[in-house]
Amino acid sequence: MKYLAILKDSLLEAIDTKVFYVMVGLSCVLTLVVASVSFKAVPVEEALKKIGENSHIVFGDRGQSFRAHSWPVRYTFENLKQLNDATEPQAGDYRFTLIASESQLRGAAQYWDSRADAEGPAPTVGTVTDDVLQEFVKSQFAVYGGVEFTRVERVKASQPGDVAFLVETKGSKGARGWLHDPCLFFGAVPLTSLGQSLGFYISFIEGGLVNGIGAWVGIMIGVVITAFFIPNMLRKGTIDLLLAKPIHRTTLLIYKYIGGLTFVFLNSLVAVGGMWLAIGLRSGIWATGFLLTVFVLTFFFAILYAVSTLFSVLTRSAIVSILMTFAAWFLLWIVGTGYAQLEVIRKDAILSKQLTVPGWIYATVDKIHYVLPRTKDLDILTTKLLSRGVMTEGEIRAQKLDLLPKVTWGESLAVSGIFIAVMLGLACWRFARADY
Amino acid sequence: MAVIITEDLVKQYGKIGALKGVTLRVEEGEIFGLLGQNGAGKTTLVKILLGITKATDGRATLLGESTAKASVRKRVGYLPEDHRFPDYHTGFSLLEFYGTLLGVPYLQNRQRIPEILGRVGLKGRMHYKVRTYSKGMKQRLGIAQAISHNPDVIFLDEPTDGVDPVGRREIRAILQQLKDEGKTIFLNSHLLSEVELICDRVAIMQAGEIVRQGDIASLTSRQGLFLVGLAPGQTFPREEVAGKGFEVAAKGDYWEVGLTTGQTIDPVVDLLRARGLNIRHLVEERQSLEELFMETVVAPEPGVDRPVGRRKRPT
Repeated sequence: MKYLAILKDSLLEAIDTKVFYVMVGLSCVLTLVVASVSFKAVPVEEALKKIGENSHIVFGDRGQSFRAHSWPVRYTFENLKQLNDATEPQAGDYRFTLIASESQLRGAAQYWDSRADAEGPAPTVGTVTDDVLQEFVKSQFAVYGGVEFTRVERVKASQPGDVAFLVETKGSKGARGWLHDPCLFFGAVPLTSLGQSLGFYISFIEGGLVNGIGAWVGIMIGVVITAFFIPNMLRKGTIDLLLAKPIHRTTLLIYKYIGGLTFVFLNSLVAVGGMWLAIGLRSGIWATGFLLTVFVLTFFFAILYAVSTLFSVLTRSAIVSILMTFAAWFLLWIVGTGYAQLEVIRKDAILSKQLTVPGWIYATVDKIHYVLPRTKDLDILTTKLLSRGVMTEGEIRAQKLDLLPKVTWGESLAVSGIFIAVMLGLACWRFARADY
Repeated sequence: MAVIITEDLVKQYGKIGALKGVTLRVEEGEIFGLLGQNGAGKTTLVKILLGITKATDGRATLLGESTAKASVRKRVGYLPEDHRFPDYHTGFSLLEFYGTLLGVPYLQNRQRIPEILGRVGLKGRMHYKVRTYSKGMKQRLGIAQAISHNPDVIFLDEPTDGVDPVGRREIRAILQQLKDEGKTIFLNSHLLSEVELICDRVAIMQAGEIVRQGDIASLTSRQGLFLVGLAPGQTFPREEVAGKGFEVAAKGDYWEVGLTTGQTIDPVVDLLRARGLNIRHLVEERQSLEELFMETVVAPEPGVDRPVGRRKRPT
């Protein structure tokens, strides 16, 4: 009950400053804007053409390698016929003849089939069997367009130098991989010819607008608003009234801290939840990964708010707390980015030969990285959560999201948790001993 | 039974000694007044008793328990001097918030708040934001929050500050009711006339020390000075009384008779009766609490120049 009372007090304080309303209002406006975006599936002819164009990036080792190369292949489609009576283009079963330049296709297929070392030169075009060609086109259309080829059969091409396949596809229940045209403001502003899948657009909205700019702005406002909670509580005449109550100082401070976190959690929940609902209703894609970013955002804020709490107790100044929190945020970003860059240099044989980084820099950055919260890891987690269940495999690979570094989550969360505990421990120690 | 006990309480802020060995006892059910100039250490003493500030040395107990124990504060109400209520609360929500922190059950808390606010005259404004309250209303709200959970001991630091005379009277009545209910009240105030009206006992602090302590009657009595009045038309036998070794001086319609060590007023009464004079007035002279205070506390407020015309207290 005491915790709820302090939480309610914090909320009343935030509501009183009107910023809470502004934040909720902005979240609602953003949700409305997202809800106004509609998506129209591109007709099958156009979709197949676009998938063909988009699939020019080829990954070696049958798509399993990180090694990629651009191998444009010009595809044409003839005798297109729908085999079922599905109304949505992505749900249709189709039969068509797929025609491509034999030399282009063989080159791309050979690269796709090659198992050469990642650092070695791209293999030269050689003899590729029909089976490899068929597997290649099947794979490219599945990866880049989510189109499942149920039959691929080599047929005679009408033009010399071309290769032709009779293809049958099976319709998809989901639409995320199918190309769509978005329309803004309830169809008032159509955005055609962007040639991207539904999953890509949703990923762009979730990752770019909500989790990118939205999260930055939201956390910055959150830092500013909550930075006043503790200094206001510590004002002469206010703190006396609280300390005269039967509540331990440590409990009081921790409750106040959790109150600040809850405030940001609720704000994030309103923003992300609203957006998730709008996206789900408009697209039919209910990606839970996006919802989970609420917890990631709150955890990230918990790191910053622990810094804010410590400086609030030490200085009783909201302005100092805000400045120190932003400084800590910047420091964490610098360390995280610096460490990531050094990791790239360290692991890349070519780069490590070109750039001579003194050993002490590695040692220093490593040590700082090991003791400071891993905010960069949280970015990676967010990116992974957002791409899960939304983007196709090809889109993930094209955007190199599968190349994101592996994170040891136990270690990462433990280090961040210990950092929070140390900051709060120092704040509680100071608060428990101070005279007011 | 003493509900507040301090023994040789010391509080040091760096080189400044805020309390220099304060020892006092406050008994259950009494209204105790703590007087002193600004900076004398009154608020520091209260804050130590409430666990807001920690003593450097000495011992303090509240309701038989160490003041360091948070649980004892469940039975304590407190109105600080420069209180600053969160102004985003209404009167009702503020009392609800404090009541929850005090561990008052939810329903009991909500039922009691209108009653308490009604007692201090704020029921009609209980759902207005605190920022809309006048200074006097905030003071009333402060008293309400101090008594809302039915505490055994109530600390009030300048409870009538900013309150108009009518309001002061109402607050005095509330304090008297609380006393009648058996509550112990610890009062810090500069309004000596108020203190004189409602306190049973007082202590005067100066520069971190208690310099006078006792019940008001004994502190303000001027031992050895009597005021004597006779029936109209009768003449006071000044020469004869003086002849018996008493100091006599006219004071308006009365005569002031001063006793020396070991003397009582009885020989004067006997003499007047023997002369067939009718005694209409005979009281031991008293001084007001303000006079006592001014006589006791002559040092300037810490950090302030000595006022013109103030003399040093005789040692």
